[in-house]
Amino acid sequence: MFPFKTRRTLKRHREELLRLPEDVVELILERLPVKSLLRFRTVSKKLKSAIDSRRFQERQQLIHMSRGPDILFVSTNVYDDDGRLVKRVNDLDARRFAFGSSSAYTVHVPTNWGGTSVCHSNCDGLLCLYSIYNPSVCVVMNPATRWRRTFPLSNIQNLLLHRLYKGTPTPKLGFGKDKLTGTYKPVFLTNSSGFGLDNVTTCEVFDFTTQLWRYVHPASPFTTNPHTDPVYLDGSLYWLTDCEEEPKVLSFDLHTETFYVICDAPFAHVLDPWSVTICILDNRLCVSKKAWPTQDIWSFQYSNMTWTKMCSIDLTQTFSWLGEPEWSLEPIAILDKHKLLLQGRDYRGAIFILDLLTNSYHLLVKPSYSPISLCYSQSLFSV
Amino acid sequence: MSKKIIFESSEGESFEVDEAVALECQTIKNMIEDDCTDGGIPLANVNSATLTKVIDYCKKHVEAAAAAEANAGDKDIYGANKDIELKTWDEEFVKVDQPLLFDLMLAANFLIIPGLLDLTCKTMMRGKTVLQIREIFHIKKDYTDAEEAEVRKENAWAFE
Repeated sequence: MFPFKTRRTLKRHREELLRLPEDVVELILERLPVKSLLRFRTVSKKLKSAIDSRRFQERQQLIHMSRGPDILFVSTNVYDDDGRLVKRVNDLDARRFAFGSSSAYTVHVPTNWGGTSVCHSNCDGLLCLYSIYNPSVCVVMNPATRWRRTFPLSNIQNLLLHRLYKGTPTPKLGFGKDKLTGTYKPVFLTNSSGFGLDNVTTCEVFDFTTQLWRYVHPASPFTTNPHTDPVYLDGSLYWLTDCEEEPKVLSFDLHTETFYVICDAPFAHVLDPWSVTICILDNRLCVSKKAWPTQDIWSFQYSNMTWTKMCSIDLTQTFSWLGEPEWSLEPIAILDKHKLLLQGRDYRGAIFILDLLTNSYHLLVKPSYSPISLCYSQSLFSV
Repeated sequence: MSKKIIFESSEGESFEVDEAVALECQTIKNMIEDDCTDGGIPLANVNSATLTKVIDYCKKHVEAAAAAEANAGDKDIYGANKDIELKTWDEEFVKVDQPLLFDLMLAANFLIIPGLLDLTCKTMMRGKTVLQIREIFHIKKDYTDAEEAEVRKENAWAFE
């Protein structure tokens, strides 16, 4: 009886498959890791064009994002004081970072890419790398598909290369997407004063279509905090301004290419610009300020344009891992609903979890060499 | 006593489950919210064998979530003996033949149970070669050997 039943089910199962092959196949494929999808492109021409289509790639991204964020550790090149490449020790065991449905991935920047800075504002699973002190080109890459594309140095990078402006804090690259057109844009916003220019800031945007950097006028009316990286959320880039008395949050709409001051930060009197930071947690804009022995994190509510305090980190609890940090800790992501992943920004910053439910602290790793840790989601996108 | 919801399989068999268990299915959740579950919910495209498994899955996950909430304080940060136990249970749960796995996947898609949909899809495709994919989905190879080799070369590392 059983073999018969199985055969009957099998037959029905086959019929079903034959009736809706594409729907079902895509439904399954959307849920698979990127590496499997790259393999399955060789199944048939039809499947390849499905996987390569923008529609499929967008659905794949949505489904993977709905499972919660993943973490990407970017291990870059480090040079000692004599300019020699420091051997990297890979002591990050990505498997230890399984929280809820979040996974961690590690990407090693090839050593021949020169001293490489990592853009913190990644979007759609794409990552930008750029150099400030080396004439190596900028790179946009997809760590999941190993796709990459280079783009030329901006004017500000060229200026810095000539080392005429030593001691000027280096500008940090922002990267995001114009949500209306789907265009990706790398953005440099630089405080002009260090370069002897009259305007307050200078803004350059790279256009992948024309392959050219162009200036945006007018640029930001406020100088930005040079010690924090811009972050990307939902079609805009965000910076903290470096006003000492009343720091503000500045946004750049990547479609209209306009700067706005969206609000004041929930703190004032920032004497040390490295004691504050801006980040994205749970798809919300957040800012954080360290004032020993605590560091507070606020999240922004767009509906009523107000800040809500999310948590307060007790730095005495992390003292054995981080000492008394000079820099504010970097909040990276909220994993498994209530586990806040943080990293020290000082040299060899430990990576740890603050469980927001139990208010307990757990060291994950104290790397001999700190990677850049980013909130991330695997995708099939390219530029 | 908690409210009960009645499912009816394609064979016309009735299954009574706690509302909390039924709420694991997004489709049913919407129906409950719209108050249209009286007199049972007929599931014309889910057979009894599949429905039994689906209910098992939802029950287990409701229990696990309740247990996790009750013991939130005393798990270790990795989550988690409870999480590991649930993952092991999931793995055992999908050790079924391909047709049932396929029916489970379709039911998870229809009832909108994201966890079960993910689980069944991944299980179905885990470790599958390109040839096996063609076989499972009855896809005809429309590449010439040279064309296939070319596409393969684009991402040779993914085959390692």
